[in-house]
Amino acid sequence: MSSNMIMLKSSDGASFEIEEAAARKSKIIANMIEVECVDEDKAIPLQNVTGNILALVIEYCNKHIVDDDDDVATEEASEEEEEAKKKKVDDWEAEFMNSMSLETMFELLLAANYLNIKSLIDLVCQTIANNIKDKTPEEVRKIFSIENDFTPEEEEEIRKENAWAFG
Amino acid sequence: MDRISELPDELLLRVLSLLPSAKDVVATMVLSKRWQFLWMFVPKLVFDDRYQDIYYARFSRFVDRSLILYKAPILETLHFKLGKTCGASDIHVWIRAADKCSVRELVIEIDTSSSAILPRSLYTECSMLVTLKLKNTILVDVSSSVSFPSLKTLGLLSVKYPSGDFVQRLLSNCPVLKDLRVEQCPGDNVNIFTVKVASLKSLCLHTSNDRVVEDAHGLVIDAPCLEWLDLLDNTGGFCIIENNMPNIVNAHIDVTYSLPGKIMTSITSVERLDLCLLTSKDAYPVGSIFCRLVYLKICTCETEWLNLLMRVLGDSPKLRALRLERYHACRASQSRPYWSEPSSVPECVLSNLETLEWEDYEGTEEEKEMAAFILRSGSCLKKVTINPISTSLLKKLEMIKDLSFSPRSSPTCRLSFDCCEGDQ
Repeated sequence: MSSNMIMLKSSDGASFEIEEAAARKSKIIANMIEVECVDEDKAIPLQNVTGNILALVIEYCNKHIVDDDDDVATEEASEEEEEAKKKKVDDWEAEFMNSMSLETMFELLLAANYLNIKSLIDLVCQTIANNIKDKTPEEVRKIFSIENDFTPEEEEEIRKENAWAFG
Repeated sequence: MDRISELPDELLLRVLSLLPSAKDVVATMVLSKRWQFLWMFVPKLVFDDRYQDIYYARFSRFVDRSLILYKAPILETLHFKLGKTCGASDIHVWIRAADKCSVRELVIEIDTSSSAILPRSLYTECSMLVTLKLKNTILVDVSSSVSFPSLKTLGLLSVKYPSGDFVQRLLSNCPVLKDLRVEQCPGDNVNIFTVKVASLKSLCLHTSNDRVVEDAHGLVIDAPCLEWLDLLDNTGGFCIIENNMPNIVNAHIDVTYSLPGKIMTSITSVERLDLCLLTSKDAYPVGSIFCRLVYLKICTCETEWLNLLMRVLGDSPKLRALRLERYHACRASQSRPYWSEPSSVPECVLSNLETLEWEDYEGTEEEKEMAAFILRSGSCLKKVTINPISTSLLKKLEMIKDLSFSPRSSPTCRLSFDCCEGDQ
């Protein structure tokens, strides 16, 4: 497929070429394209996203644009095929999220938020939520290295006042 | 500060709203000062009393206090999953609380082993509701007026009603309802389920097979704006469609009515159709044309399926994709379908049909004839996929051989067999 390519430039100066259709996953970039802020041969500068994170964002967008293309080609795809396709995407997403550190995950989330890519925000948030689910506060603190800034007395008091929540 | 706590509120609240139980959400208050009050603004709370093994009294106190302390002006989703005996008075209080939190979506699911009577306040005090989903609950009659002025989505799964009239009254007080999903259960006190909603776009009506067949039972539908219809009723009642539905795009009709004709003639605008009927001759009157139909799925469990298929093929000139699949088990006594070569090849097979997918292919004479007919006449065929019903590898090979040697009129047609999976 030969569609329009556009250039994105990360905060640390790295340039990336991406299909316009993939870049449109980002509401911000889609808006820029709509109002023709995008110069053919000029890269779009993204001040808040570093090169290594932008590479991940682009990997995600490319993966999902391929899937959208498939949908167009087989508009009469059966539910079964759609289910199989969804499973494939889910597996890819699980693998994608598994491959990165928590640190990277947070940066990816901030980038997705800045670029306004809703499905990627949801994916990362869900992954973080899965790490909180069924865990005690102590475990959650440990997983995310959350610094407990309550004094032992303060924490004790909160737990006592809210004993109903910790039954 | 640590990375997660540095995230903006909006993202942390998104994370919290994806937790499956309010218990985990509320417990984040002790993580650190950053988190202490955050949970009070989460847009979604799920209270699940089966989630952790806690006493009901403790659970109900947990719900009470969480809702009292809740601070955001609007709670998007309030979801209850209740198992053990849940007191009607508790639900009454929580519905009041839901109203105070301006809940948009309220979901009350009760475990199948029990059911709960919902308080009357539900009908009068939840004017903000946009979505209401109930499962295994009992609705009671009200003398006061029922009012859901903003309700767009309603789900009634295994709900028991005071009467059929009540259902009609309930639905007629949802003036902007778009999406209705009903699963009728045995003993729901409704013989004739009437859906008359002018604003409705999507309707899913399923009737449980366990329903005892009463003297008169059936469905009445009057929803002229409907775009999506899913009808499942194998109890052999009736269905009256009061007005045509010219905007129907998607329909799934799986019914054992002896006269389904009116349903079929009122959905001729359909683009995707999924069909399982007892009859072919009476399926719809001669002369009906499905002029927009591009995707057809037919269930192969009834004796008449083959005749039904040939009729629909003949009346669907634009059809591009066909899928055959068995949803229900065949009755042992059932006679085999009857194949007779049509006098002329249906227009869609000649000029539009691109794919045929056949699940549960048995390779009987009739099926072979049918498959060979499509291969022989389908000049636009691109792909034919046959998935034989599990049988011995040898038999599968035989089926492959039979079909591979059939003449094909489309030079680019690929024939593929899914027979490497499953038992061999």
